[in-house]
Amino acid sequence: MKGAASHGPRAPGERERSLRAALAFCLLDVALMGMAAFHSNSLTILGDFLKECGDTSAVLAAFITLRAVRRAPNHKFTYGIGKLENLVSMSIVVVMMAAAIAIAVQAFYHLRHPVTPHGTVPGIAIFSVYAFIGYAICLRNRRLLKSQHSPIIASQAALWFSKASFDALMALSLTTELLFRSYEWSVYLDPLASLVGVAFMIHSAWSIASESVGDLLDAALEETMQIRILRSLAAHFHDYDLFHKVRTRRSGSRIYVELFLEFDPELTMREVQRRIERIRDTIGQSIPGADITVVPAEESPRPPA
Amino acid sequence: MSKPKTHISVSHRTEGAFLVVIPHGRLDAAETPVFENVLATLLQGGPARVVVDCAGVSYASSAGLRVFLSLAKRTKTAGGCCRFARLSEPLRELFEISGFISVLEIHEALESAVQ
Repeated sequence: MKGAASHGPRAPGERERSLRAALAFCLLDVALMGMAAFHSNSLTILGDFLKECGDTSAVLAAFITLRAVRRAPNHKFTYGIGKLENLVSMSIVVVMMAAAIAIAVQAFYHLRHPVTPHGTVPGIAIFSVYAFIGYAICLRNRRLLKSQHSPIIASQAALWFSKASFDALMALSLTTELLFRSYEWSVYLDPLASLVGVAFMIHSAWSIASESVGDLLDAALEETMQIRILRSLAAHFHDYDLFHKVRTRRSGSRIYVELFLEFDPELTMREVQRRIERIRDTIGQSIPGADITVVPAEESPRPPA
Repeated sequence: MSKPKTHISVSHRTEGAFLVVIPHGRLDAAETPVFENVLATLLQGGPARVVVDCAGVSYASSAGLRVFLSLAKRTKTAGGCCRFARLSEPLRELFEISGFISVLEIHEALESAVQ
């Protein structure tokens, strides 16, 4: 007996609202940071201005992508274009790495040729406010992630955590520099703090990349999800005869689960369908929004050893 | 500090009407196919009464648990049975989390499993 059934996900309005707010803040950030950079010779502020430009483009790309993903699936992309989320996440990684390299190069240059920054008071104020807002956006994204997996929101949470940490660090370094400006070593605080910020950025970029690459290569779901599926199968232990295999993957925020089960051949098609519905409902409850397909399958012959 | 054992070894013997399968090591994603292949070869003869002695299994990933579930279904459908004996503490915990504890036949001792 052959046949399959499936059901799937939900609206991403909350994610769009979160990104819209982040984008508005980014644009304001770029404008203010540009002004601060113009009035200061601080490498920290200039570096952050360049980083903000890259971050803003990454947030804009993420926003446009979410709108595009919402329109799919269509006749051409029948599985949707969820993987576009992963591709955009990877582009965010590229932006973060480019900014990290640019800042690191300048930081090393200023370690060799130190300069005394001036006009840092506006920078301190701006960095402090930005750190606060950045952590707020990061927390909002993390809250969203608890209810719904999304590579874009995950990468945004990492991006904003790195941005906020960077900003907090910069505010701290500029304040320390201002307080101890009479000491010779204070000129090294700016580039050193930049390098610590670079470490934050690389760490965030790595965490985004490792997740997105796995999803792009159709990696199976993580163990916690697999255990949920097994728990559902155990709950329906008497509904099927044989358990052949399970295949899982993500496509953007969508989760696909394919179960290959064998049913008693004496059962009617209607009864098999009823059992499939029950199994699917149980898995659907433990993995909300998953697209679950149960394939009534016969065992395929084992390949020769 | 000793390195954790990474390879699975599987031995077996017959006790009465039961085939006792004794895996030893970690049933992770890399090693589970080895265990699965051994089981497939051992069970080629048709209906079987199997006892899996789990004392030597220090860890099972979802892949390993899948094989246990699949084995239990296969033997039951073929008219045999499958019992799991001497679960290590981590494995018992995994059986509880995955709900296996309530559907699979689990024995504390090997002696009672082969009765």
